[in-house]
Amino acid sequence: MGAIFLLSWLMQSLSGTVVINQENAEHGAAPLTWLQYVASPEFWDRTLQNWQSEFLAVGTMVAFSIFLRQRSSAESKPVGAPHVTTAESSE
Amino acid sequence: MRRFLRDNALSLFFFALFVLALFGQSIAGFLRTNEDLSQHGMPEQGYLAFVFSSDFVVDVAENWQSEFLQFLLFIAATVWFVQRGSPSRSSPVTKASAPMRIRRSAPMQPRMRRPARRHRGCVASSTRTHW
Repeated sequence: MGAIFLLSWLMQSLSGTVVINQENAEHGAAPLTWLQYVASPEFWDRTLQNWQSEFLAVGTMVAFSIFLRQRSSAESKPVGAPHVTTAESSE
Repeated sequence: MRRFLRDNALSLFFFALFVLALFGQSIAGFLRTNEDLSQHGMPEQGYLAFVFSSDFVVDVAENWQSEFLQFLLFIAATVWFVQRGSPSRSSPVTKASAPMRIRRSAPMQPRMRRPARRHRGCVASSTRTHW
């Protein structure tokens, strides 16, 4: 999974380099090397905004699934289960 | 306090990562828009001005939107679909598999000769149970 993450991040950096160089060519600005792109705020802005929302999503899912229920969902505790039980002990 | 940290470590960990990533995003976005502005010959803006600008807010909002969509669809889809081999429950929760709720519509009975052990979350009880 770590390898898949790194590969996808690499793919993002490579395609991002291509995009920014296309835009730079339109503006008559110099193209960036991959190393320059990876150090640029554009790359980190994109990376961090996606990370930020992923962490928010996982965190809220962990926290909310303590209290919220969805009837018949395999991911939810049973509707009548008390909050303190974990999904395993509520079965 | 320590107990609180230990019991909630998972949520706190992700919340901390979220705050750090959001802060990092604000810095990177601030630098990026200033680069863009100076490229277009416009004056750069301050950090606070950026953080309250629609540039930053739209980036944050579009990511939240897709995450909550993911969250919603996952919960909803698991009502109808299962995945063989998944570590989650293998079948939807039905009334038959859910534990009984113990409702007290009458005051507690006086203790019987052998009262049942009470554990949290345990279904067994010596008092009357009603649906």
